[in-house]
Amino acid sequence: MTRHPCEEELALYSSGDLEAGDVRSIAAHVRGCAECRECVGQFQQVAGMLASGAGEPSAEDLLDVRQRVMLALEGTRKRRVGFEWAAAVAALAALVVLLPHRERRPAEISSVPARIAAVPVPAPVPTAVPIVRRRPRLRAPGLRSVVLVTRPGEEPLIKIATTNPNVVILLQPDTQDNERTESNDE
Amino acid sequence: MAVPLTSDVWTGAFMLEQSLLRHWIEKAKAGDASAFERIMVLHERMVLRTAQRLLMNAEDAKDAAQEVFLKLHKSLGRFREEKDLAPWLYRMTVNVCLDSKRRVRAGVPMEQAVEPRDCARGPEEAFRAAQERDLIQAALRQLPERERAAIVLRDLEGCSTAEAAAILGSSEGTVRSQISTARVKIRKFIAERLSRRGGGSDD
Repeated sequence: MTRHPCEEELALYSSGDLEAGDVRSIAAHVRGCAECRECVGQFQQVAGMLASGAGEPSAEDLLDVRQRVMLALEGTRKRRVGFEWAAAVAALAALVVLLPHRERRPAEISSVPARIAAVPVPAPVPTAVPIVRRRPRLRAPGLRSVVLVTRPGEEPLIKIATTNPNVVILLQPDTQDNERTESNDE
Repeated sequence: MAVPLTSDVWTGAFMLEQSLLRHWIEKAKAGDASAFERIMVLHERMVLRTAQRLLMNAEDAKDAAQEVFLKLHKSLGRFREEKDLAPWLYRMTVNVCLDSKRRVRAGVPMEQAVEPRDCARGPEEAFRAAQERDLIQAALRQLPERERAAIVLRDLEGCSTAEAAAILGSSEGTVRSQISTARVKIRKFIAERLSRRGGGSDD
């Protein structure tokens, strides 16, 4: 090679990053050219300065980063555990409220065996029993009603109306994370 | 009696570290916080150092390193082999630093937070080392982001051109071009600064 290689080529040659095809010709030129040899030497000197003199992070900075990360992870873990507890308690409350409805359900179904239904029942004798109004069923404090809402093609929802008319709780029984509260426009 | 550190000893130490790392990754995946902390201890210097050299600001670098390790915690499940971890951390550090919008923050220059490599040397040598460090940081600061990232990975972190290309998501040819351009700029910058100092117009 008679021409001087460009600086970029010498920069790559100085660290062995030049592509294999160019190495031989540039090496031959550098061997015979004092100017290019000096340039290569300077690139190697700069590379040495970069490798050794750029500084390292301090121990305090390393500790600071580690503590910040571990604190952030601990906070995330606590929030997640708290949410899981809240979801579990809400699901339990919904289950407790729903249980009486489930026990009554068989009586509402009219699939009574025909043999039992055919037994003659004596006609009730009219008596002068005073009409007593049934007392309203006791409800858990804070709850107004709990309804299982089923819609075709969608997941069933538990709708909990509270004593506060502006608060209705919707629960998806199989995915506890989907609990949400919405305002009631009634 | 001191054991001479032959290459076999280094290889053994490396293999031990890798098997420990594999163990810690498995435990961290299962939710063990102390195992994750051990993984951090092993890699925090690499991540923070790279972030400092890319962002040129100690506080921004700490923010970036924190973000990188939080992303690592979220992504632990995807690591099948421990050897994938270091390249992933380099890639994430570069991405977080390049994405960072807080390149310049007045008040906390990085030089104040970087500790000298060898505290035992004399004051004169320490002063010269500090000057050299300032010079290198000034030279790196004048580079465009992609060139700086390429030169930091290749010349400061010691990655090969192929590794740097994989981390940066570029071709080897592109990275080679960025490295050569950056080296030429750094050489010129340092030569100018040194000639100014020699001429008595030190800034």
